[in-house]
Amino acid sequence: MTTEFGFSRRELFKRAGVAGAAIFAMPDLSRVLSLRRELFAQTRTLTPPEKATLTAMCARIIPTDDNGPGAIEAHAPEYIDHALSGALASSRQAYAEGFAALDVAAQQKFTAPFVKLTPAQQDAILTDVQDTPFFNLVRGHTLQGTFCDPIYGGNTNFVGWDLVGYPGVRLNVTAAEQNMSTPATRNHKSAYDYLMFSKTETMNGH
Amino acid sequence: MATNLKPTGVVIIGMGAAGGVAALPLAQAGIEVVGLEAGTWLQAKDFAPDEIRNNFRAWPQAIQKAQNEIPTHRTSASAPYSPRLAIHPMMNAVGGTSLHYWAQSWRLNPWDFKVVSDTTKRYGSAKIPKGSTVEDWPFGIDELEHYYDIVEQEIGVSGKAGNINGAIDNRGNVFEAARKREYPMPPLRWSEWHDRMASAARGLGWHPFPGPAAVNTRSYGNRSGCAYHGYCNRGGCHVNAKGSTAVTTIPKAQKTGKLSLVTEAHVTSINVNNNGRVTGVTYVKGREEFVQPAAAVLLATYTYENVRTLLLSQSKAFPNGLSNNHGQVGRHYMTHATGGGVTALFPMNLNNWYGLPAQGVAIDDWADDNFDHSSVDFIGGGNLFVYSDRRPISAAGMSTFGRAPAWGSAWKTFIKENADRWHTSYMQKTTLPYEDNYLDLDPTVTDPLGLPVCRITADFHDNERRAAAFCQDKMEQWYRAAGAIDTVRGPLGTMGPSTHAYGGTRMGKNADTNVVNAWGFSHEAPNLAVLGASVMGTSGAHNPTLTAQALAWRTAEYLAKNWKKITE
Repeated sequence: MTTEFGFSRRELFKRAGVAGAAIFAMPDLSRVLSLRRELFAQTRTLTPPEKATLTAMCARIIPTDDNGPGAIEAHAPEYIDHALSGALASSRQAYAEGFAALDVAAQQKFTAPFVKLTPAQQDAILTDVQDTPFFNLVRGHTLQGTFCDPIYGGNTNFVGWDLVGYPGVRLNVTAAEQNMSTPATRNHKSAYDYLMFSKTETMNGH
Repeated sequence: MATNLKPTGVVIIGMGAAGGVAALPLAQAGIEVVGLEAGTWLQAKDFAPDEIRNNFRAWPQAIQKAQNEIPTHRTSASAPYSPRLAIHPMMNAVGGTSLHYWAQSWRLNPWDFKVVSDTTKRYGSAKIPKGSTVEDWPFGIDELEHYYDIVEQEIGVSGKAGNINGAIDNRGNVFEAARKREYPMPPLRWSEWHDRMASAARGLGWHPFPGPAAVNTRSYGNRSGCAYHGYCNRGGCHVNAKGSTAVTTIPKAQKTGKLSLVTEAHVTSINVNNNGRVTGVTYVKGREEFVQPAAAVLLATYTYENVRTLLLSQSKAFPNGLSNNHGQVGRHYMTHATGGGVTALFPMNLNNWYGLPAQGVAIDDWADDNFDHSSVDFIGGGNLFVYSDRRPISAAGMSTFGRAPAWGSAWKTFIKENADRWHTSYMQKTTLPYEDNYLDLDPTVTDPLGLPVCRITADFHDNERRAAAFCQDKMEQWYRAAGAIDTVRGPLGTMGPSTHAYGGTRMGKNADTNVVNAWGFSHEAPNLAVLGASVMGTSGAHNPTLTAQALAWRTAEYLAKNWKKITE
């Protein structure tokens, strides 16, 4: 049996041991799920400088501010970094070219690479490029990483769902829970907290 | 070398919404049927409520045949190619796209069958747009009522009738043609949001009603009622409340012992003899090639694949593609004008996080010829539909109505307040067929087997643009009446790959302008029939699936009743 990452559950535990995490005598599913999320974060596609630029962009697209956590706390950059080796691999080249173009723009305007700029300077650069395909690509993927099911490594601790007020995945919803006057309470549940759903096939190609 | 298999009665190519229905009357008549399906069986465990998988990926756990054959598109023969879609709108699986469709299960309205004669009678022939190749259907809706009724019972459709044997009931669609009986199940429930929209429509003097859906509202046969949990939009149903053919007609046909279903079968051609009769099909499964001889073949893939399979099946008898000696394969292509919606902003949360897109309020006052067109410069119109369906990523991706930037802290403040305060209508508008809208084989783009993909050459014409703008006016009026504080109009878009694709193998009595006859059988190859919306000559203003399924049952039943005449 292989997991979404293409290695077996036994190997998952083996890797967990190597990574210094606890080895379980009995598989505890919630722990396995969180372990899977950690392993997601270990998959790297981007070079360290590229990852730093992506992180800086995500931090300005959905900032951490008075309204609470943003793309960084959601782990949107890690979601993107991982997915660029899988389902979003066709965008890998666009990212490489986009980061380079962003640094050229930053150098021209403020004589420093994008990551070295102040948040206000970064906003000025992003405003200049906000109508480009590259910016919209990153924006779209940042939204995915912030508001996706946590199984994909983003929306960590449900910070994205809490921001927009999504009450969480339910398998049965009452008439009252659909009414404007009596909305459902937040349950912080992922689809994959319901064990009936297959994780293996779902994550294939990711 | 290809392996020759034991001959069978009927081969059905594609066990989706249409093929999956057609198998049942044939199997029940005792005819041996081989159903060839490119996909596999999917089950409840594959249907996690997961927006990334459903709406941003191409269903990675399904066989990705269609995904490798996404049609190309250009707006005209002289236009450059449009950007190719990243995800095919349809999927391969037993049950096909009926696994993850919205399941709105509409009958067409009477006018859709008589566009030419009714328009000419009421407004004069000059009212029909120039360049349109539209024809009346070879029969009226009365002919199809019996088959609509059968399919509604078999797949389980919920709804509220508006016209039972001429008795009008304004809780249902007062514009529908007479039905012989009530829907098998009551309609999907309405929430306070739906009630608000229905009440606003009544205030405008319109006739709101719950849209019909192939979704159970109580247990039906061995399947559960809807759980209203959401993620139904491109999502499978984990309690089998959605009446996909994978959980209705296909297993029922299998129980007769007459249906043999082959999964992961990729059909590459339909074979014919020198007399122009179909002899069977060739398909690839794994790395092996098989020839399945059959007395009759039903082609039931999808509009694009139906056309492509015919054009790829070239022979001495049909040098330009099967059933194409009159040059009609690929002609009269339409997609529903489903773009051009309206998005509204409300001053309060709508609590639309759960529910399903078929759970909605419909307005047919502005569809088809349900209103007087004397003072407007188009024919047809649209069905207006508001519904309950919201997912977190798409909620955050909402329009900012010009009130906030598209990113940053001000945007974050905006979506925090408004992510549950917006709604986008679904409006299906009449599309007509035109001389210059057609499907053929792409001269350069191929699938992994090296076979050309389908190429779409098509764009909306003035009639579609005018009908769309008219419907947007009406929709804005409706939202405002319900308390919306702002509205924005979406672009109509163009006619690239669509879940509502029609034509290409049109049905009609005249062999010079149609590929199949009034029973769905080829005018040129007498033991070949085509199933699906590719036979429809008008789009209507409602989802095509139930009509495609009613036609499929009718064609299959005709084959069973005329077996000797057709197969000998």
